[in-house]
Amino acid sequence: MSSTDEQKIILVSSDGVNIETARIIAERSMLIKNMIDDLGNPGEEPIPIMNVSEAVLRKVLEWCDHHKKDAPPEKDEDAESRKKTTDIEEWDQKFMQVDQEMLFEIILAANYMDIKALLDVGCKTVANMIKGKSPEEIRKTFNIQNDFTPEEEEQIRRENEWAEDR
Amino acid sequence: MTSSDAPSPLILAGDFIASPHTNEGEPSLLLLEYDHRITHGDITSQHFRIRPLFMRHLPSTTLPASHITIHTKMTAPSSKPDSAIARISNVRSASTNVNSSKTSTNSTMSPSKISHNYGISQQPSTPYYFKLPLEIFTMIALLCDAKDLPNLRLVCKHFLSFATKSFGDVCLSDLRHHLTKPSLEDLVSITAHHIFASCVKSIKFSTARETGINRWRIFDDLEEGDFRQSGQHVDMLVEALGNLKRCGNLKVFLGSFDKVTNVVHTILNKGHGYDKSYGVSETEAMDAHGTFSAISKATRLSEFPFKYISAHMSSTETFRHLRDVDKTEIIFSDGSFRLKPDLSVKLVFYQSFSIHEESLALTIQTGTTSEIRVEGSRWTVYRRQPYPVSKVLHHLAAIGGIFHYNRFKCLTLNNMTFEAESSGRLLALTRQSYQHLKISHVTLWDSNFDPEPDLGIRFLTHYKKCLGIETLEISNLWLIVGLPRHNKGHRFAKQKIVARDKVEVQRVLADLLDMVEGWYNKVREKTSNDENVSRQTHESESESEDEEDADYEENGYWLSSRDKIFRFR
Repeated sequence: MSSTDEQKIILVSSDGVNIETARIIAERSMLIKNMIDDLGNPGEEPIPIMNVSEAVLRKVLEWCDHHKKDAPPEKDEDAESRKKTTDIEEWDQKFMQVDQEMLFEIILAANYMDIKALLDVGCKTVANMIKGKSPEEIRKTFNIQNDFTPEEEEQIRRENEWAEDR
Repeated sequence: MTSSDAPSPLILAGDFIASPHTNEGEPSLLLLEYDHRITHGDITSQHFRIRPLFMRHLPSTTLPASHITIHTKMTAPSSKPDSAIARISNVRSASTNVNSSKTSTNSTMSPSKISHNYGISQQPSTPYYFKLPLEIFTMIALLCDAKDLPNLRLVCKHFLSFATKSFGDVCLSDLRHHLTKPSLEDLVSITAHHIFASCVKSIKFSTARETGINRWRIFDDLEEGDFRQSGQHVDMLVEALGNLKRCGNLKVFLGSFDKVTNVVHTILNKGHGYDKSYGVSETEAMDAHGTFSAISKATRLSEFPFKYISAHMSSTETFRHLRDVDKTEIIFSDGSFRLKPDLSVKLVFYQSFSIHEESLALTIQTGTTSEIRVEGSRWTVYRRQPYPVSKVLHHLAAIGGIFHYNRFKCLTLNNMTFEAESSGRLLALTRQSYQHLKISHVTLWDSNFDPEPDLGIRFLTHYKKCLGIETLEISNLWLIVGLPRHNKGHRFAKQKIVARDKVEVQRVLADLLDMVEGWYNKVREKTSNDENVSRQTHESESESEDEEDADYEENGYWLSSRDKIFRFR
């Protein structure tokens, strides 16, 4: 009998494609880990990943493969402060160099599949795209139309001023 | 309507954020949720519940789908249709069929049109950002810097609705105001805001005032003087506290903050509305008494609980005024330092020239919790900007009565750096029979290695003698010896050690004492070796440096004199 690390499982993407992967890789996803724990007999039945398409699922599994040996996150008192930083490892930075559609699909998939570390990396990537930008620059970055009236914009500016000199 | 025309359950199960125009033409954000369907013979109509997302004065209502006009495209249903954006106009009432003049981007929100709109929105112009659910947007917003949040709110209505709570939590939770009209007007507005009011965690008022001619102007006949002399500042405070009461936010810390300037006398903590209140004038006087009096009076008039008290002080004078003004015994009883029950008090003493690091901070909880938490600065901060020991002793002396007149069950020492003198004073001051002790990120620095016994031994022995301690949590206890450029340090209890009964507490402290004593002996031995090495020739000195580096690499705790950056591991 193969060890848990070597076991293969089959995931089914939302567009019906079977993807075989190692259990150790797939179990970076708490969703999959819990499903395997609940169902037992890993590898015998394909596991449907309802909300994730083949392309995104393959990308997510690529990340899981690279990080399969990462230690689980420490639950110490500094965890919160670490979470606030937006530093991203070099490999993860390159991994996240994808078009915006794929970036947001990865974030949504990480959320759905409960892969906290990948969700963190995705959110940090987006946060870094926002940091230091003016509203107009953020609109350009994400292809967003300004739908405020001048009066609305003025009101929000007034409220924003409440945060000054704190 | 046949069953085949019914909208997909995936679409209807979700919430739709919409941006309608009210009767007054004032745009606002509404949440649309599928409510029910009504079937008359072969005709079935979908009804949606609309509730205001932010504007509470708009009533909730239920509308048939045909009464809602959508102006913008909805996002693709591929992943999260529940974050779709729609703009609705002319929502008047459930019984009024609204204007549904259709342009290329307008459609009535019937189930068939929803499907149609999803089809349209597959265009590449759809911002992918809109697919993100609220919790992920909030995560991203919280990863941004505080100064980015106002800009996020100005991007579009969708961003506004998602970023406003984060903006409030980050930028408007800790408020610092002046008792002046322009500053208090904004405070009243913040507390009247239906989202921001619940974000407020503390409000501190400046003790700073103008002086000389300006002071005379304030208190006698000009605008600011009239304002405070007539008690309008208290009236506005009462209004702000009333607003907080109405939204159920009663756990707000109220208190004061002293002005702190840097070495070139620039004010580091102006407080909101400073420029509008004082212009380019500098506040040179302090009125801690007047500040606490106003808060005390306003809390009485508004019946707002004044049991969460916060004072950020650059001077112990402020602490004295906090006691003096307390004639109604809100904080202290019997005219002494005896604290009233059921209080949460934060007393923070700033370091000189900084508002970010504190030389001493006390957090006190009376009543059944009965806890006192003492904090300062971690070594990494302290070594950059050490505060004078004399100042810490002064602060400790000011609050000494609190320890003298009150008994606490739990003592927590956190984020502190102590040198021998201040440590000795703290240990003497906090000598009580605690039941629970927590020590975390405490650094004890013996700059002079001569006095016996060593500081770490004194520290641990002090608590080992407290036989009543029932539980102990200790982590990251650092011992540092030597002058800054020749430090040697070691971290004990890297992993938190927990002891849950008196016997275990004694055993843990005894084990730690053994380890600490052993380490001090090793330091002495090494220091002696280093001194011998320094006497050797230049060539052999170079060799000894290599050995020292090897030693550092081996155990990871020595801090070489050549390490400009202290490498704690």
